[in-house]
Amino acid sequence: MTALAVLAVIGLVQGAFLVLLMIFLGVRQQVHRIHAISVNATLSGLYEPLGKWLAGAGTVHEFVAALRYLPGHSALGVAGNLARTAIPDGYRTELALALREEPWVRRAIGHAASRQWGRRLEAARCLALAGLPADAAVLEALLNDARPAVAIAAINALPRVADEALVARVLDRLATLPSTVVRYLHGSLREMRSLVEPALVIRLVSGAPPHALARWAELAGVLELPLALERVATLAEHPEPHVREAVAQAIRRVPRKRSADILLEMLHDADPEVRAAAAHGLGDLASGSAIPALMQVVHDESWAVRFRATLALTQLGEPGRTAVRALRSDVDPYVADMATLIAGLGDGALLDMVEG
Amino acid sequence: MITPQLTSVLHRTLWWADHAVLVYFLLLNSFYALLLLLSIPELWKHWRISDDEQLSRLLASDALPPLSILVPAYNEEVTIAASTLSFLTLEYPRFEVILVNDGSRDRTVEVLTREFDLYEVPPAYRRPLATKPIRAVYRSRKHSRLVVIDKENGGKADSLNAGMNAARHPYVVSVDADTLIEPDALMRLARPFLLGTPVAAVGGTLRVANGCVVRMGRVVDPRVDPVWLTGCQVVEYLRAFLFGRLGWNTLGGSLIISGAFGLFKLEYLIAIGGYKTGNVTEDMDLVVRLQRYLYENRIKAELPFIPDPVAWTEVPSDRKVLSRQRERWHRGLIGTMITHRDLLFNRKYGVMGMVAIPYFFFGEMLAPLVELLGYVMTGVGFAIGAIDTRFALLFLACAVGYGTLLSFWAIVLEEVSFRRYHRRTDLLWLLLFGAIEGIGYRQLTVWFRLQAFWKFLSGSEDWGVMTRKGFGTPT
Repeated sequence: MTALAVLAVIGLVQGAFLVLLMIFLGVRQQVHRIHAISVNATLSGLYEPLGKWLAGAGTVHEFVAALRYLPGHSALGVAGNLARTAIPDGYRTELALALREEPWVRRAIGHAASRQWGRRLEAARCLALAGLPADAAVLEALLNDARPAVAIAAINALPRVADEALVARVLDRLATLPSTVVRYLHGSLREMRSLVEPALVIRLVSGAPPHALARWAELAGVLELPLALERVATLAEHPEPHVREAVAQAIRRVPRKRSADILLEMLHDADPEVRAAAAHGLGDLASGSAIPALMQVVHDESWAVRFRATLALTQLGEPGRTAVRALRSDVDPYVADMATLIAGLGDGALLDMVEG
Repeated sequence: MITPQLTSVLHRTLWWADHAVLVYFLLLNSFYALLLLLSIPELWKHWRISDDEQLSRLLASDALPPLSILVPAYNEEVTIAASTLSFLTLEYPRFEVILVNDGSRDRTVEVLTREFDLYEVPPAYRRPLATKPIRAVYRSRKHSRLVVIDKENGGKADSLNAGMNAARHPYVVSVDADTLIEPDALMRLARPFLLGTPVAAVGGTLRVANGCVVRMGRVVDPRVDPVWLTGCQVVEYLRAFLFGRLGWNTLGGSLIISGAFGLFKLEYLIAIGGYKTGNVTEDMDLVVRLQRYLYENRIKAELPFIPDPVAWTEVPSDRKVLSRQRERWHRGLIGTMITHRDLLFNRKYGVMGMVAIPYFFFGEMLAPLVELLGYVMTGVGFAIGAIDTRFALLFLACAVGYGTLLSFWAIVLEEVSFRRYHRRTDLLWLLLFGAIEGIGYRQLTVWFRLQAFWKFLSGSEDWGVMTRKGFGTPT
């Protein structure tokens, strides 16, 4: 075969591909248009049975039956969207039970062990809507999925499915997860506080692995679990600084005199991160008695501690703000600059700074 | 008079040069084909995840890390108020906007002061990166998330460094003052965090805003500009982002995260000394140094590209400005490749040393020279009758056809995934520009890039004036 012939073949193949791509694009546009029209028509037909069901004039089955007319993938998305925005919590179990009778839902959940991760993702999303306690084993497998997207989607199903044993295993894995994922998990665990608190109380002992302890202390604070926070407070002198920092961040969530006393002690910690967290906590607790201690800490060698201490003073009412204004003429230029910055901020900026 | 000996020498030279260009063409296009194949599963992955992604749940949680958005601004008095407001109203749980006025000669600071009720605060923050002197730092009484730094002129890199010094959050997003970011783009850009991927940087997609309907700093109706020069750039951007960068995701070693819309881990940027002033394409230089730092310190952190977070940018709409932009980009590429030439085929740097740098060196930096060589050899070949006309025309058709195929593929990827353009006429314009881009526009950009070699050798560090028309509503 000559070089010319080879080129001619390449050119023909390319031309054929180009034509195929153009045909594909044309057909795709048309299919998309028809699909969009059909989805929109079905969507508008969904609201009537949904409204009737929620008003007690109809059954959930009528709503679920209307979902059938959507393509499988769209039905899941639409139902999920409505569940989040329009269906109150009290109706979710009824919806889940009705959905479980639907072949398309059973089929989707049945793909939880599929080799295709897209199908496992759909199963996890389906469980968030139609999961039942009996699905705990399936959900656990999805939570441990090698594909992070599947594991993240499975987190949303936890409140529907999890039992004590699964919650315990989830807590044991907290230390191994990246912090963003842990925080995302907090959202689901918040809906299961009664299951989480006893499991946390058992785990919050000083002999536990430090990294896990820090994560559990953080969780106790975020979920504001009083019994667990009692245990967290006992860890204030833990040898690991990141555990002490987590303790300082957690106990500020519950305003108690004991918390303020512990945080005042922590202002003298050897680690600057712990001192900064303690100052932050004293500000959040609005503990007026902390003003003298914070006035000392504004001279700390660490920028972060000075910043947090000055900010905390502004949270302590007029006496604290007066103290900050006085610091603007401090002989230490670092202290004076910081006080001038903080004293000049408007209320919104201050709130942003405190939360950040 | 051409002697038989000279003709013979020319024939032999042509034979070798033709074969060299042919091998180069085959290798480069095979690599493009590889990127194209690798982009498919990546795009499917992101499309599948982004579909039904619970962004509202994320917005209400504190899962995502707080961000500092860095906006360098120079002489932006006309657009600065609208663009700053569009940054401040982005959907993301916790962020601050640090706008750095780079010694503007117009009334940028005055406009900001009036619109956002700015007041001066002392610059009480650490400054690990050296920058030009800071004149003042302002905060806004109306928008607590806004910080404005007024500094002496030092260029974009210097402004970004000043912004990094003031950043309070662990991740920074660099954007241009005239970039229009889609409201949910930051949350989408932060997807790797949620997926638990350790990241050093994340790149988002840039699209062409020319021709789109823009209201209040937002693209409300994406359209393809039916003007040849900008229309060709729409296809060019789709190709570069939708399969070029997605393909690199799988290979690893990506060297480009656009300075107009990219997210970086502040700790790493500080460790490498921030942006390098004096480099005309500071973003590529930064990413190469960042990759280098990660390799040398054995830090396992990725630099993924995410296709669905979109920012819109105005591209040059006349030849002069396009010429300056492309010449500057290529000069920056040459500078970066020369500076980091020790990485070339350096096994110590893994994929970056063995694949990415060689690709950018031979496949991107030298491409205009090789293409010029191809055109010259073809001309000489015709002149001395050494080239079969049919072969030359067929070869040209195949080369242009392959480029068109890649463009059409990018359009298909767009159409089956995120579908930003809804009208049938837009699709037709995309196909038309994809088909004609290979003749005329491509040669024009080759010429602009060739000029970069001359400017680089003459030691120019000039940015050139980038005049823009601004956003509006097309009639």
